[in-house]
Amino acid sequence: MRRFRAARLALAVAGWTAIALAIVEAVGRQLTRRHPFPFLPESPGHLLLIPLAGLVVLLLVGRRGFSRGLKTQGSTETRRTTAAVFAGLFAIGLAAQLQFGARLQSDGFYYFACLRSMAFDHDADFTNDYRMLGLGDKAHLFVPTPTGYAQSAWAIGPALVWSPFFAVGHVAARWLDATGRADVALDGTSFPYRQAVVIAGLFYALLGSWFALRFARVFTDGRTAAAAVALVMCGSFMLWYALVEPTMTHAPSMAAVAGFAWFWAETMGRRRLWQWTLLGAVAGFIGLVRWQNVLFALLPACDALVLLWRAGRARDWRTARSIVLAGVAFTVAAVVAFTPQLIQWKAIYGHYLAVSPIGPAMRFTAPHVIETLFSSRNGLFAMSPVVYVAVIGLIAFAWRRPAAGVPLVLAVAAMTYFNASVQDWWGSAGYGGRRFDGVAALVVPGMAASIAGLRALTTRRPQIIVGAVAMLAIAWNVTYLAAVNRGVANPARATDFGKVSAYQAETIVNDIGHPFSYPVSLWFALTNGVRPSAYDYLGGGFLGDPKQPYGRITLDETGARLIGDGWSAVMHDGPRAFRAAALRARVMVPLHVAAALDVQIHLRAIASVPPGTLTLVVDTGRARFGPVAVPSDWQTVRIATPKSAWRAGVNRVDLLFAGAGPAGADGRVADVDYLRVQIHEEPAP
Amino acid sequence: MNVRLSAIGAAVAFVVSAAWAQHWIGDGIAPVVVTAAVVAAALSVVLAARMSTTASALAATGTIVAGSTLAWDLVRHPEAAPFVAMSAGAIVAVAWMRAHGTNAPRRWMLTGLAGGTVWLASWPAPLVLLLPVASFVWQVVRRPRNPDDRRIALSFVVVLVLASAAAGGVRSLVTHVRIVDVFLPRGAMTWSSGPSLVDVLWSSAGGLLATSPAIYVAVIGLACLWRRQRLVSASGLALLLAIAWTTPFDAPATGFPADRFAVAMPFFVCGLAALFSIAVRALAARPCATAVAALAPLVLWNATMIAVARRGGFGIGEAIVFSDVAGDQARVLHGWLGHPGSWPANLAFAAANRMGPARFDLLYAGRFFSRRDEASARIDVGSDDDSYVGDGWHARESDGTRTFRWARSRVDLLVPMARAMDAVVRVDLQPFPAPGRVQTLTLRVNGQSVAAPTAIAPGWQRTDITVPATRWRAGVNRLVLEFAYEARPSDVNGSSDARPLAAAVDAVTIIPAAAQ
Repeated sequence: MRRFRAARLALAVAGWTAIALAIVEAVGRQLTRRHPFPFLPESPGHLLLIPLAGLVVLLLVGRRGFSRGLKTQGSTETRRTTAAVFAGLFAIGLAAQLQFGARLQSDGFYYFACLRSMAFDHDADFTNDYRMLGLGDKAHLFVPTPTGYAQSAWAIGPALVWSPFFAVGHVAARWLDATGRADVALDGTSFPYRQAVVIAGLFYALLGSWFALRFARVFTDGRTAAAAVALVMCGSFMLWYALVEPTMTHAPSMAAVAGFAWFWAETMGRRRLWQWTLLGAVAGFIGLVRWQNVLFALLPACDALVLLWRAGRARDWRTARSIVLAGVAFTVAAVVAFTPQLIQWKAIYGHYLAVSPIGPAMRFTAPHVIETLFSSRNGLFAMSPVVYVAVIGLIAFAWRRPAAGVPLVLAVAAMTYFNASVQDWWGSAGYGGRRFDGVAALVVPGMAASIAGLRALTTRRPQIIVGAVAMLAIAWNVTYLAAVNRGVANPARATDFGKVSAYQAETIVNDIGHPFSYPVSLWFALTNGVRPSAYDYLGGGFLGDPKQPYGRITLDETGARLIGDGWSAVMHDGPRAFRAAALRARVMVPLHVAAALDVQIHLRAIASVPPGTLTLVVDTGRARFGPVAVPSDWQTVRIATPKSAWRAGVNRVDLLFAGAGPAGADGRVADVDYLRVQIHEEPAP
Repeated sequence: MNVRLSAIGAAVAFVVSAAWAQHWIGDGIAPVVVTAAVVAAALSVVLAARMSTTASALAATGTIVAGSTLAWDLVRHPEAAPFVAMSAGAIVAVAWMRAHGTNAPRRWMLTGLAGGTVWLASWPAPLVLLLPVASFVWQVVRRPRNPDDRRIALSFVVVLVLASAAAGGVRSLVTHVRIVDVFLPRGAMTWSSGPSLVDVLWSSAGGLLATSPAIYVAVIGLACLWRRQRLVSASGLALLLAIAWTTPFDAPATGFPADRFAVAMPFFVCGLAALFSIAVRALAARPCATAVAALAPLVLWNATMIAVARRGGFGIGEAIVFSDVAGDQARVLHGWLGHPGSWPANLAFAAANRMGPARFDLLYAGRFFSRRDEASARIDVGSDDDSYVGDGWHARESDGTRTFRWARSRVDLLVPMARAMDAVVRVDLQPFPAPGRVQTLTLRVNGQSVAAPTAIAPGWQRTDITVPATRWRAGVNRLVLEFAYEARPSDVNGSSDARPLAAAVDAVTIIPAAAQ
């Protein structure tokens, strides 16, 4: 027995050692580009396996404790298990960051400039910082503000939460400098500083996961909570912002909101004045990290409103007074915690409350809610299906536990509305529904509810799961046979199943559409007479962005999905790519809204058609326009159309050519380069 | 309720998949084939229902037919033969199971009668007769001098012979073949010297389990059935192995693998039905794990999406077409895990050759000299060579008459070999001319140099290098072609081509020394 215990202890030590070695090695490589332990594998992919093995060993050694730890709370076993898992994940994440080449990028530069400026210049003028970080070519940053500073549309919070890591980066930089690395600048711009914030991103993603775990455990058992957190964090865009682009604000923002939500849930129904005050301070802090996070103050606001309503009904004025007092304390604490941002705004823009002119515009009256959730352009559900499942679970959770669930649903809805109102509702050149970082933490109880629902279904109807697996096997087979039918696979020859599986996946999704754009894609298909998969490229439509009152269909490879019958393959005339049109050629014009449009078609009649004999009529399906003469050389034909000629959705526009001359090969009569539609002012009737 | 739900579910699934299959690969339905399929399915249900619930048997039958390449025979190229074999297999199995362990001559006569029907189907369906014969022999061995044995043997054998003759006669009449041919296996019967079990079961070139995941699951079910129904489990697995071992080399070229195994399909149905029952119980016992496992593919979806995004598969922040991305995701997943239908063969291959399991698909099935009569093996560089070329190669090119790739001063080539042998490596190549320099080629096989550098004169030419068997290994061999120099055309002749080039390689051919 003693020998057995000693063996377990030895394995536990080995597991922890593996994790610790990997952490030191990976941090060392990131901050110093040196190998603290040269005997460890060079490849990050192989290095990753060391903490993974260590974690597996620790979990196996403490199997009983792990299982028990998930069920109980606050025990030593729980803490030990949690520590092992998070340390292991930190080490694995560091190695994964090395593998992915994670570095300071995108918006991270702006937060980093703020941090460097505070740390080295002790000011809020980022003019020199932008230039030192290679942003000197972005002229809009240097348009002087009322106080003469450089522009900034970014929150101060990420700089604050990164600062401890930045300090470690400074120590690493000094050490490198002392050991003779002349290329490492000590001014806050060199790689040790930058990589320090890369590590910070991973740290906050894991911290947020831990907060989310504690948050979910308020409502469910440990096993379900752990599974829910793992699914949401690994199945959503958060994985990207922890490992690939950790220098964006999303990991710290998620962590801050998760902490706030945990504290809110933990104190719900028994919150004292100091707890209201502290919660307010945390609310102010999450606003510092990402301004729109202040919307999550809806959670305690809902509590306060319910308590006030109850006190009012009971005519309990003493309780009502204490709630008002708590609300005041909450607000004051929030404002105080938000003060660093106010000061920075004052310094940059001369006002304590400011809106940067270089930030995206807000359009609260024209939100793109559907697109923000379901679009193939970074739609939250379409790009992170796990969040879809979690939100469905959250609605069920709200039904069962309205006191906690309804505020959560309201907060998620408010954030959705807010994000849908941003001019670039798709989140610019970011991955996934990144602006929903705070929501990722809030939907964890929803995911737990989904797991619970699925668990109940499995208990009652396990054969549904078995049937689903059988259907998968059948679907695989049918699509495999389709691949054989198309010559992609051949059962008599060596087959690359990678190629075959790609064909199978494309076939299925092309047939049924992207399931996580349902039901919007199905509705779109029904109302526009197209396949559900067409929602991906037709659903966005032109004219959705007021800044782009036009749309263009280029008749080259990129526009292939927007054309119908009557077109040749792509041809080239010097650098210009075009297609030749038959007497009747169709294009799909997807419009976000109907409007009076100028239709501009860049085209020419083919050489065999006598000049001036070919005419064009444009048929939008609701009206016909023309005829207009088709020029013999490349020119743009313009046709003004009223709003009534168009519908919101997919318009099938036929280009109808007519003329006396002989047609070219395959009945082609004209070459078309592009078709452009642009909103124009409709003349008054 | 559960039974009804399963039956309804199975029916719906079958109809949906049949409609889908018809949509994708349909080429008309032949009533004869549908009738044969329905008979085969019904008989399989009867057999499977003996050891599982009717609902499971129904669901399993539907899954096997729609989830294996039998679906092709049903809706694409209507072909009744596999279903006839499947029916015969089910009839023999039912009759034999009723007779097994009994002294009732009537039951053995029925088994003999059923056995005769097997000759309605073509080879290797008659292999199923091994089961009652082995069972009878086993019975005799266990109980020597049993007075009933002679009667049983007589009744079984006589009826079997008569029924076989009748069935054979019918088949020869229907298909216009000589009656003798009905009873002789056609094709090269190779037994142990034929393709390996891995080829027949897991290879990407028509491996049974690799191309029919439903049958893979069913075989696992057959193994699981060992504890409860040892007779069915053992006979099903034995039949699988017997057919696999008698598969001739040219079998894959003659159709889908499932057709050869059609006579064993009723046993697969039993296995799948049993697995369904086991799975239903196991899932109900572990609902939490099941729920998480059911949602876990969403994490995999996200991970592959991120991998595709990192590789530039779509523009981040732009509208994407999910069907295109789904294809890329499938490729990524395949790259990570290999083809699940080829597990564990591809995992073992990956471990043995230190490469990803996805490489198994082409490198194992396309390995050289797996057939004794292969005179040489040629890698046509610049043509369909993706699975062979490693680092150091430039893109494919063609000069009109030949395809080739330009190589840098060191290029890798993967050469999958079925066995080690003395061989000549013949390289068709042309050096990139650099004034005042002589290009040489050094060949390394699995890290070891095999000969002194060979000088290469300008122009297309052929270089032979002899490699002893000791340098080769059975599996994937890593060949490295090392050249003396590389130069950029832009430096040498003012061309705009700035690629570092050593030589253009047209082909690498492996010729066994014995064949020279």
